[in-house]
Amino acid sequence: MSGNGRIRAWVAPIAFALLFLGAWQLYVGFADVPESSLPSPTEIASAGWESRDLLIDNAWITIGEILLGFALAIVVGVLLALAIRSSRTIERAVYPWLVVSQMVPVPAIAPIFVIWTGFDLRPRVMVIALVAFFPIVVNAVDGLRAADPALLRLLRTMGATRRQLLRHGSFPASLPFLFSGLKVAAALSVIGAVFAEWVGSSEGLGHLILVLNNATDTATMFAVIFLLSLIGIGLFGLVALAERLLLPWYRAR
Amino acid sequence: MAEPVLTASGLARTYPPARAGGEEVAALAGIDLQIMSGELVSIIGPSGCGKSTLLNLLAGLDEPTAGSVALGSGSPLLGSVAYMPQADLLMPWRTVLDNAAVGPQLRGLSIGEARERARAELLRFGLDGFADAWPSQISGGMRQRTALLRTFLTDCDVMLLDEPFGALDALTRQDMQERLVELWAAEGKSILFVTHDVEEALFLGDRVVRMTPRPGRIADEVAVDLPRPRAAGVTDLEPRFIELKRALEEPLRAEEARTP
Repeated sequence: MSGNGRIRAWVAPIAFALLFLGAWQLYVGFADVPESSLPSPTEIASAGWESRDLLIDNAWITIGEILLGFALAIVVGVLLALAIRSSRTIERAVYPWLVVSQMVPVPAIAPIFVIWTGFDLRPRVMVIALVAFFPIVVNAVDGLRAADPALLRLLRTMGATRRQLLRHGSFPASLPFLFSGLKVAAALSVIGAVFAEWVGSSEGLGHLILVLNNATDTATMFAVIFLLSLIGIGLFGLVALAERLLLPWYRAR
Repeated sequence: MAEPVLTASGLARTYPPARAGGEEVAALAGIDLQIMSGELVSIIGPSGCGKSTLLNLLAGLDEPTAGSVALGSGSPLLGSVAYMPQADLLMPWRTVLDNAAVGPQLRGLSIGEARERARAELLRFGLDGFADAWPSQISGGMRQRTALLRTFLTDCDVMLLDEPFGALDALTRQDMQERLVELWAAEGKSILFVTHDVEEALFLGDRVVRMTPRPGRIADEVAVDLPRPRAAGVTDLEPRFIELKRALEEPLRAEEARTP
């Protein structure tokens, strides 16, 4: 894409967002909606600015949880995928339970994590990892199957061992799939963090939403939601950046 | 005197029936074939004559139902016989240089040493200046030259080439044929070259082995008594070339006519 085209690609969504915010502002002003049910964008901005220290302190806590949970999900997800692909028996035994693990209602299981580990960071990290690891495993397993069988045969004629087939064949071929999974997992991990904090936390942006809800401080709640979205977008962007740096060949195609 | 580097005796490959109660499929039967050291042998035959099955057996990728394959050196087949298929099978995540270097790397050289070996050959294979290109960025001919270099760098004395130039346009193909012969003459490799193109078989081979299908057998072979070096546009106009070509084409055409 040319530099000009890239700028043009940004103009439309930003213009749309400004239009949307403008309409929102006008609607709230003219229809005289009470601030406690729907604050205007300017009210949200000023409420957020007033509570900026509170928001930023709690944002750092939530960001820390998300990064830890996401990292744990990557490690567990990739190791599980490798185990599943290494043996038919493990695949048959484990794969159905992965699906079952996603049927467990997360808000219901989060308090149990709290009972196990206490009222600290650990249950939150576990909840985030629980919701984020699934798309990682599923995509990594698909990816590890994706290598061209003819290529693997060719590597075998060169005397490649099983380990070498994985390292030089199946694993690199799986990376584009893995990154697709990571992008979905990035979005899910923010949702997981909010859930986890609702259930078992006295800090973080998710917890702050509950507190603000009790105080009917709707404007600041909206500011928190905005921050949470920003965190999700940031994590997604980080994954996309890593993909660009680690898979230059994938973009060159 | 030249010694056999690869010997197949009584080779047969039968596949189990595709469905229960069906009949077994005999892909190959009674193949006796010997490649001498430094020889370039072409194999020709209509599609479905079991050429690819034969190469899989010779490369060690598949086990024969009967008979045996042995290297003159006594080494196991996997890792000692280089194989080059029609699809270039370049790894999209490796640059041209790193694709070429995969053989030495699998043998245990560090990536640095493997790259050095590949870099030293880039010029000879017409890949100078393309070391860092991705496979998706280069032409089909260049991709196949990379694949040929990768095959060469496996350092195997025996090379099996399965219609490697079949998908290339005529000019690129001629260029690849000339490069292959040059490489073969300079390095003393023993090459088995599968093709369905009679002219290609004659242009390259010391002898041409003709196969027939159902089951795949060796029908006959022709010694190609054309002097080397052979040149495209020259050799193929010589009366002897045309004579050999006719002799090979006639039964092939009859075979194609019999194909349902």
